[in-house]
Amino acid sequence: MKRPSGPCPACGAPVEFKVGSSLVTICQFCNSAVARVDKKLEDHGKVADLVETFSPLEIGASGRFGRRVFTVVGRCQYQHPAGGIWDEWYLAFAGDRWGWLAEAQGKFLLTYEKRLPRSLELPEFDALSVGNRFDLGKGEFTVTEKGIATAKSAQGDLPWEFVPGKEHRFVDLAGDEQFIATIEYGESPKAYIGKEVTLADLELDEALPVYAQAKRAKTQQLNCPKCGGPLELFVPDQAQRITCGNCNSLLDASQGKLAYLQTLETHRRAPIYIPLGSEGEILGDPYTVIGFLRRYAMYEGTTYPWSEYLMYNRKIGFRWLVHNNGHWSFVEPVSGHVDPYGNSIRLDGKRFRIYDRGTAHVQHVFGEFYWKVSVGETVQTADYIDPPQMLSIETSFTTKSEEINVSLGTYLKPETVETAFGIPDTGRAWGVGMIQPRPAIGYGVFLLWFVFMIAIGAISAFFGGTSSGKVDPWMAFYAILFVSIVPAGALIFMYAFEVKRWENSDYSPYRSE
Amino acid sequence: MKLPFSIFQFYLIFGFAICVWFAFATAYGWKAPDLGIVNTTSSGRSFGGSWGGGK
Repeated sequence: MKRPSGPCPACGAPVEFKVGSSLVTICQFCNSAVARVDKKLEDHGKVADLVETFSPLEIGASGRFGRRVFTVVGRCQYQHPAGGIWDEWYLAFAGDRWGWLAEAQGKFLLTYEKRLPRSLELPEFDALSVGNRFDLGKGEFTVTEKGIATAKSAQGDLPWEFVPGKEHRFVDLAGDEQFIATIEYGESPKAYIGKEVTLADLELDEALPVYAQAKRAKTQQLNCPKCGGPLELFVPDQAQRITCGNCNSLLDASQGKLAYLQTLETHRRAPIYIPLGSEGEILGDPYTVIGFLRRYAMYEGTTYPWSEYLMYNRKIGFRWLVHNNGHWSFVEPVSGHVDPYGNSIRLDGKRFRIYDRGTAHVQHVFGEFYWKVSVGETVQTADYIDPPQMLSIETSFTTKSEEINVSLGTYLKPETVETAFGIPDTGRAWGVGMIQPRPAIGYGVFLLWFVFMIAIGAISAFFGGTSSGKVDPWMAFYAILFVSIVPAGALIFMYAFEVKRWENSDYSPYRSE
Repeated sequence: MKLPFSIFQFYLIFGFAICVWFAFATAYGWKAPDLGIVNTTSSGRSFGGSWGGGK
């Protein structure tokens, strides 16, 4: 099949569409977006320079997904309403089939356009909010993000009518079995459904490009643009915000080079138990600690702070260690296909019960972060527990976006963290943590109680009928009392433990009023 | 700190000892020591006072 080609309407240089079904190509000479409209070429305007995102992908790269061979033929850079840039790569498969590969925060989401049934009526964009659910003809999906992104730049061939600077209304969704979806609310809404993939899944024919390898080197040495002091970056290709340990500046790293943003307060810095750069193995996977965040919630005039350590593993991505009142938990992201407003959530067969709702404020940041964190930033939180695990739902709003992030926390003993990172005593908690597992007592104690009761009854029956006399009932009463002390104490302990766990919750099942 | 024994093990020994003690007590016809519980929970008035049909 002959590839469409012709002179660029902006500069006259020859342009050729690499794929018969692509609608826009970027002129390599003048950087204009050239669109095919009614067999003519139309100038959609000049595109801005691409922001260096150090992606491992590039135009021309090829690979296979499943058994299907693809070539990367195009790329668009969107500006997120919160300010960050993300790449969308266009994979041309055989048979004029396109794959949309979104790349952000080290994650790859591969989706394909899905023709929606005519009978299906999508909700209006303005009527949607995060947490809403509706059917996409492939099961029910939950809205995890809603926003307006701007198409900033592009490269190669694109399967849609790209116009530089045009705003795009989008809704991201999560469904069952790890399915994800995006709805683009253009003149007529289009749906894209797929799953998260890894670079290994894409089976690229060539190794990572040299520049990406260099950027993905373990650490990178830079200098602070404010004080000139040395900065050590552990994940330079993912960092959006970095703090300088010398002058305590918060720096922006999203545009390729570092830019000073603000000087952070130091007097409220909390103790950092795990030094940045520490490497350790948690739940069988190695991580490097790259950032520290102090957040707090306010309740009736009292602040309740906690610390979060951001960890990174190249193959797994970002994870957290949360330290709250001497209790540790390991936190990982999970699908957002949950109802954030219910009193309980079911996930993987477990039922999580609402523990608290509130607002979390960022008090202090240190290190490097994959999002544009700032001191004072707030998110709405809802915590659901099923000890030793917790589901945390964080909802954030900006003028142009709503986003929901769901994460799963698992309780860790302090010694697990101390051993993993080779750090000294991090302290032990007095109280009961909200997902601290109750010490195991076991059913054996209560079974034994029945055995002892039967034994006391049998002894009474046996000796009561002998010539030595009758059984003193108060002696039997004392025997029953004594054998009941341990199981009764265990029951009281279990009850008191749960009451203590829920004492800071507005949703405690043990509240009397 | 980890205890050198489990609650189950402790209760097994403790409960068994109670049963042995009770077996001896019934075999030899021991009477319960008067800890006051017997008197206060037995039928009839066990305390004085002017209420409840007292003096």
